Amino acid sequence: MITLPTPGEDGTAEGCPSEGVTADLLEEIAEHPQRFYVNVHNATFPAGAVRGQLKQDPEALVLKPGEVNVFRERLFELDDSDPENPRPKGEQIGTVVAECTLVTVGDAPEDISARCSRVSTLDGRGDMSTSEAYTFADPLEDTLTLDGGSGEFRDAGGQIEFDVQAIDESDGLLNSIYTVHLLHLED
Amino acid sequence: MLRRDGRVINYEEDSLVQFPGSAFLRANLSGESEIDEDGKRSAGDPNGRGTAHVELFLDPVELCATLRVRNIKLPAAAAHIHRGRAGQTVRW
Repeated sequence: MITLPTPGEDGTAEGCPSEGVTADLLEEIAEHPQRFYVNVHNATFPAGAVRGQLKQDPEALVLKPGEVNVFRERLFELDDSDPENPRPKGEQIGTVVAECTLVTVGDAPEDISARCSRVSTLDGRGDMSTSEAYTFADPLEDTLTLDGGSGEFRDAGGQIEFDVQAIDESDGLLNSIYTVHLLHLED
Repeated sequence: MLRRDGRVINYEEDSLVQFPGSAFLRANLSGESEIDEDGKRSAGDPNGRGTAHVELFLDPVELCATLRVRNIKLPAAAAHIHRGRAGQTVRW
């Protein structure tokens, strides 16, 4: 049994328990999720209030080299008055779609590269796009900066930066999840 | 979701990207799926619903879970991953 974080008054919980978590067990769960289930206990149903069998998340994709993945992001202006807790402000100013082909996947971050070939706004206020392909030789450092002076983003007074970034920087980056982000910078 | 370095405004992913050495799992939780010690089905809260998203990483070894439950008495008392197939009563 692996003890998971306990949902509180709001019904949610999130965390990464370590007790009982071994490589052998995780490999079995990944390989045969149907052999395992999650349940949640409460005061009314101490033996279990809800339960469900684990399965592959249908929304998760396995991306292999040569495959194309489409990323879609919403753009907001940034309120960074609290640098520790930046938040979106105002209305959505655009949507960006990028088609990225994974070139290589390796054990180290520098072995992961992607070529992203299309960036465009789909907010109905004009398109901005590039046909230029770009390879992220070092996904942690390299960025592709598009000219924000054209199309809709002139009014926003910003620029677009498009990069590949590790979500979790605390785990040594090996086999981490990489995703594509879009950045709008205010002047 | 905001990136940790604080540069990103906001983004929304249409899909998760899974690399070798990781797995994304999900469980849809309900009271009907609960089995009591005698093997009786629908032993949980008949109104209870929820989801569990479980992410597995092998290098380094890590398991992360996000739980959302509703229509049950809260706060919950505990949450677990057990070994057992659907309909089975297993104490592990």
